[in-house]
Amino acid sequence: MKDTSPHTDARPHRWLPSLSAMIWITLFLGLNLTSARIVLISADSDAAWHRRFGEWMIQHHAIVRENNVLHTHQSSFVSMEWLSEVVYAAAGNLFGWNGVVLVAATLIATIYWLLHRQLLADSCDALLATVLVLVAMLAASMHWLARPLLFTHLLTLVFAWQLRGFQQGRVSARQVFFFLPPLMVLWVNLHGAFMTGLVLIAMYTLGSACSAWRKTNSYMKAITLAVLLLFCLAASFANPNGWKLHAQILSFLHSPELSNLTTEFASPSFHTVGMQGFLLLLLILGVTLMVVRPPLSATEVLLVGGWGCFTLFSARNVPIFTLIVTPLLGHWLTNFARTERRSPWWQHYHKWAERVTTFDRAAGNAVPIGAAILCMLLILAIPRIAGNDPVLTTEFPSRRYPTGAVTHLREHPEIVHGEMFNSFFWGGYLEFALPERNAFFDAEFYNVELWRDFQTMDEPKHGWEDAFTKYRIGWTILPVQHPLNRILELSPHWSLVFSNQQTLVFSLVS
Amino acid sequence: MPSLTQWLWLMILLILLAQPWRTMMVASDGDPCLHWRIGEYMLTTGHIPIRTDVFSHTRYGQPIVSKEWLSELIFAVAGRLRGLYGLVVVAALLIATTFALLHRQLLRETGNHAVAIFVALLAAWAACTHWLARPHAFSFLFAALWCDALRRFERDASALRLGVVLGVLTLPWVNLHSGYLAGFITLGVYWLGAVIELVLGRTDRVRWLVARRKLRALTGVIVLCGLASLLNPNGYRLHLLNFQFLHSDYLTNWLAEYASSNFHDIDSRGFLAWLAVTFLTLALVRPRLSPTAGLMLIVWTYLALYVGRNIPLLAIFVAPILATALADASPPWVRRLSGRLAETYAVSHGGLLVGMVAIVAIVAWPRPTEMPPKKWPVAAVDYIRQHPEQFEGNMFNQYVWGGYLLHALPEHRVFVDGRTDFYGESLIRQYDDTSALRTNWMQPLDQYHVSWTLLPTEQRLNLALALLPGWQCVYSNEVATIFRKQP
Repeated sequence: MKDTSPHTDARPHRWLPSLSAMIWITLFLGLNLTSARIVLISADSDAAWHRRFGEWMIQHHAIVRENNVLHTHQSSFVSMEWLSEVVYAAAGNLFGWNGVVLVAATLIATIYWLLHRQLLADSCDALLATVLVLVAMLAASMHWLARPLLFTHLLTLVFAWQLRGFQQGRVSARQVFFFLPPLMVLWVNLHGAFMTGLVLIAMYTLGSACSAWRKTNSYMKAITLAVLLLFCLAASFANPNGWKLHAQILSFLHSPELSNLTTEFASPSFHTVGMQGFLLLLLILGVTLMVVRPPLSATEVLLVGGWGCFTLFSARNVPIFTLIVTPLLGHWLTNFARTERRSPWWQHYHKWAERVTTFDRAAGNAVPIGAAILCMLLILAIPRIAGNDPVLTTEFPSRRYPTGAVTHLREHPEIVHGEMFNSFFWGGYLEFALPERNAFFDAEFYNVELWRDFQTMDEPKHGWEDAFTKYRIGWTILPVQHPLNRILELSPHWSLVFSNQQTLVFSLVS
Repeated sequence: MPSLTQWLWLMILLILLAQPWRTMMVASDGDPCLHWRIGEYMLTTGHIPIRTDVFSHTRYGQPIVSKEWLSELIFAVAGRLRGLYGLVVVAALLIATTFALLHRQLLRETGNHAVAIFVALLAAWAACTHWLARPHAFSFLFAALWCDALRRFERDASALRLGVVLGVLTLPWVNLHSGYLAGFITLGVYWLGAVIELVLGRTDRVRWLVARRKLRALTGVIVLCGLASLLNPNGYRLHLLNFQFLHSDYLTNWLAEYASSNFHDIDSRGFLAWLAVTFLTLALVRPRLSPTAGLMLIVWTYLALYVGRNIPLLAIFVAPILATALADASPPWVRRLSGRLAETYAVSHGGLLVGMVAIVAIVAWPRPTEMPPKKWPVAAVDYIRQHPEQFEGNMFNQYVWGGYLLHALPEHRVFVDGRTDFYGESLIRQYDDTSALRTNWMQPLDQYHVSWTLLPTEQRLNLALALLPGWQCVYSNEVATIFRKQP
């Protein structure tokens, strides 16, 4: 989409980064060069799990259709994000974990660069746009992980921008039909949350229909959006699993066990530091509604209310809420700022905003961003070409993951026999780091029976020994503080075969 | 014909007195039993308020800052009269009166019967997950009275009346429940709102003078209430204890009722509906809120999102703001409905009838109220009483069961109970380490010379004790399991 802000072609200093470019470069280099890169890959172990699947697909030139990483669930498998797994694995094959970080950092930087461009295109001044993007970054940063969901964040932003443009009359019907269904084909193969796009179109359709019913709009827009929804729905079947993918996702979302699976599917806990950004965004939204009192369209009510509700149900919707609400906030606050010119405070603000906007228009995007990419590629590629050690070491941290135990098990495979029982949090890591052994469980939700059995063993509860027998568990690899370790320590049937400050490995006495 | 307020009062009262709510009010956690037991001890021994701990073996003899001694005495008197049902009656009367007062306040402020009853019912729905027979029910009532006094002050600016009312309210509130802090938070919000009004009104002399007078009055009332709050048996130490507890991230994260709401739970639907109505009111009605009203909305919504147990206080403090906004923008059909309701219920002669129905419900048909044996270790307690010789020495019990065991097994001292602030972070951590089977799980058992445990059968600690040499399972059913250390 074109930047429609005035004087966009006035760029006398193309080498100087614009504010959008500064956001991109700061995020890109910050995430690649600081310890944030470790957090990107190791906040949970899903990054490892996705890379393992991606590597398998690259090696076999086929889409994964059977789960071959667990010993508990070796049946048909509906891959929900095969394309992003291939992308991450290809980057990983080139530069190791640095490559995975490179992809994730590029996606994150592009999302907030695009959000800034969208706000500027929506006539927001550069100062307000930058402040709002910083708040959005703070709110969404808890989900900055090297996982396929970053593709969903990017595509949510693009869909929301296109749909908003269409509703405002800046984007033609032909354009949305040309862009969105093909993007849906891409999305459905990149990440399972492609339904976000369908929900967004449905909200715009319903909102337009409400506006038409209240005679503030014609029904034509609602009908066009309804047809677009059908086109995108049809496009979503263009994936290796067809309708089975939709069935799998719906059954997954309907499962009552879902919120117990991981904290990101649970309601947000406002006690955590990670939620402070979201609280700040809610505060700005609340103050805007109370002080600015913008006239909301039916679509805007649906978007804010609907996604607000989804976010209260699942913390993982916080970034999506942020990316949808921030442009609306920008629009309302811009209109408010335009009408408030009398007070000295506002005059002062407008003076500053004009200065910043003038600077921003004079600066460039492509040259500084290109330079940052080049620098990063050189940092990653030169040691590889020269055969030296990489400049950046990016590995799973040994204080949170069983790196020592994995090394020991590879050196002494004879110390354990039978099947493994592992902690939930380590599943993905073990699948990647110990590919010759199948894990018991990872972050994917397979079926209720397996999940309940896992809970019986993990808690542990009465019947844990029966469950161990059922799955022929011969050894365990668990964090030192895991309660099952205390039971195994006392049991005469188990012996400790490895221990360090992080991990205990118990083996069944034969 | 009773008025709508009287109907609402009676409806809430009867719902709470009926099953299953009656049992839920006393059996949702162990705290109703805990407060009853402490109150009973004070009544029996005459140690009012209680000064040292006599209920646990882990903190026995240590000084107690009794936060709720007055409500504990009231619950104990009710318990003496009618057992657990007496506790239910006290709490049900408090809760029904709170929401009836709220309804009357909404009606007075909006003049719209339809909006007033809608918002009062919505507030009751949002708050009902915390309708328990515990001292915090007193805080609901005092919050409603407090809010009413402040809203009146907003209208008539009578500093003297505000000072008298809030000062008089502070005195019992500070002795009934530590929720009095909510009153001070609200006063602080009003004070901040007055500061903002002062700043915004600096170009308008009349407005500025009004704001300054308001600010002075509120400052005086805060000082007065602050001084009144010291009139409790523990003086400033009560405030100190409350702040220490709230300052402990570990304890506030550990306690389930201090957690943020889980919107997957059906219990949270009322709160979700409240948030939806708040958002729709702001988005569609677009009310012009005063700085104080805006701050109240923001602060209490934040506090309710942060800690689930603040939801009833949000509903009580913010209901008048929502109701006023909705009444101002109500469409003609709502006004017609309000008019019809006013015709029917304007003149009330039903007070006597409502009172009689309530008395009959409370006195004439008291059904037994028991702790459900499927959730509480009722049978295990019977076993312990039948075999006292087996249970000498110190007990290790589940945290939630602590209050119940104080009441059901007064001859034994507990390891821990619901008085988290009294036990403090170090003991709660020890309890948690043992329950969670962390590496040092046996250390608290040794340190406190624990010789028997009473835990839910599903508790993982039972699995470890079953394997630990010297420990033997002496009782087990679906609910509870008892392990005993062999002498």
